[in-house]
Amino acid sequence: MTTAPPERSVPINTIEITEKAATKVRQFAEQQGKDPFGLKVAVKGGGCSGLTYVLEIVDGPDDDDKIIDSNGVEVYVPKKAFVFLAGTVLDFSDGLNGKGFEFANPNASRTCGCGTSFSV
Amino acid sequence: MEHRGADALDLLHRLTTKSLIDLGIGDSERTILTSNRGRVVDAFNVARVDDHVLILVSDQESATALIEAIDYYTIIEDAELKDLSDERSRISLIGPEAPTVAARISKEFSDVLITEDSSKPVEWFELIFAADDNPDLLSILEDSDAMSIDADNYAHYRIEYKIPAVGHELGEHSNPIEAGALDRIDFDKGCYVGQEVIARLDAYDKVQRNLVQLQSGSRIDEFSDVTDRDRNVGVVTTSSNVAEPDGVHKSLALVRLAYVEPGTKLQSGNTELTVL
Repeated sequence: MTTAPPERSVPINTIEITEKAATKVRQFAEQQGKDPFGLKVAVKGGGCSGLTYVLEIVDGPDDDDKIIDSNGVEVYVPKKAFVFLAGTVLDFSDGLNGKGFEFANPNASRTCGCGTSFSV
Repeated sequence: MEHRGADALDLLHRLTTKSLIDLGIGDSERTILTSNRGRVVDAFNVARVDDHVLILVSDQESATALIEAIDYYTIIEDAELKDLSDERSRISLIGPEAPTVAARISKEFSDVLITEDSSKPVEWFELIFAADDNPDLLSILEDSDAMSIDADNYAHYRIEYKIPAVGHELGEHSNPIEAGALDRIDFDKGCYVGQEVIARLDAYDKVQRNLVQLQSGSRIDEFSDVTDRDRNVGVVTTSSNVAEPDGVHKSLALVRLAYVEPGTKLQSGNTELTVL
């Protein structure tokens, strides 16, 4: 387990996805034949550090979702999960050393080795 | 506690040490919730009584700590906890005749939830029933020669069989491996809270203590230090006022690995201890 101070963050009333992550999300949506689509970003219990990130391409928002537009992608965040995600930047790194989608979450005090779970 | 909702079982599977995802209706499993540092928050039985309804039976006197811990991790899940402590009573049915008595109760009382705890080294069933008096159930237990035991005899029994309990061996001061609950961990189930720490402890053989029985001439207070001369090497976790027939007392303790060989002489205050 490692502590992971985020390299970047955005104002705490929103979350952001980088242009690279937005491009990848659009590719996944196209592969899944979803149009229109949005990116559900959430948090659920579980994972080594206790809280696990959830990413899903969805058709549209649920009633209790906060809707954010970032780099041309609609991002849906359940209000209960937003408290754990406020200020987060979602990036994508590819290549041989790439880790896929990466979260820079200013609320995370610790993250697990694989980066999919965190604690606050 | 009742844990109800479409995501309840999946949530507990993701949070705790045992694989629960395939738990069938009518089945039960004992599992452990650890902190993200691998320390024990609670050990409890999970009984699946319906598709989306679980009954959680904790060893702690109050359900509050477990409810708060699970609630903390319940974010987008359809899962809700309800404390049934005031509505339900619990009897642990222990010993070689327990299966026979449990079968009889199951046949005669459809409203008594019976779960088997296969994690214990002895036959062990939990009976959960309405909290108001249940004279017929109690009379079957008496009729079956079941014997009610007090806290001291229960502790003595746990010491004899090295059965770890929450608030003694299992707690914020211990991890499940050192506390004798290794079989409550499924190492191939994937992530759960504390998994990375626990897997590392196991894979790199980093566990520092082990659960042992100690023998002494008198009762040692629980949570007394165990020492080798002046060096602290462990802690007594369970003791009992019930002595062995030859007058010696036994206790359970978490002791550093260098001192767990049977016959090792240790101390607690002025009392000499022998590792059994």
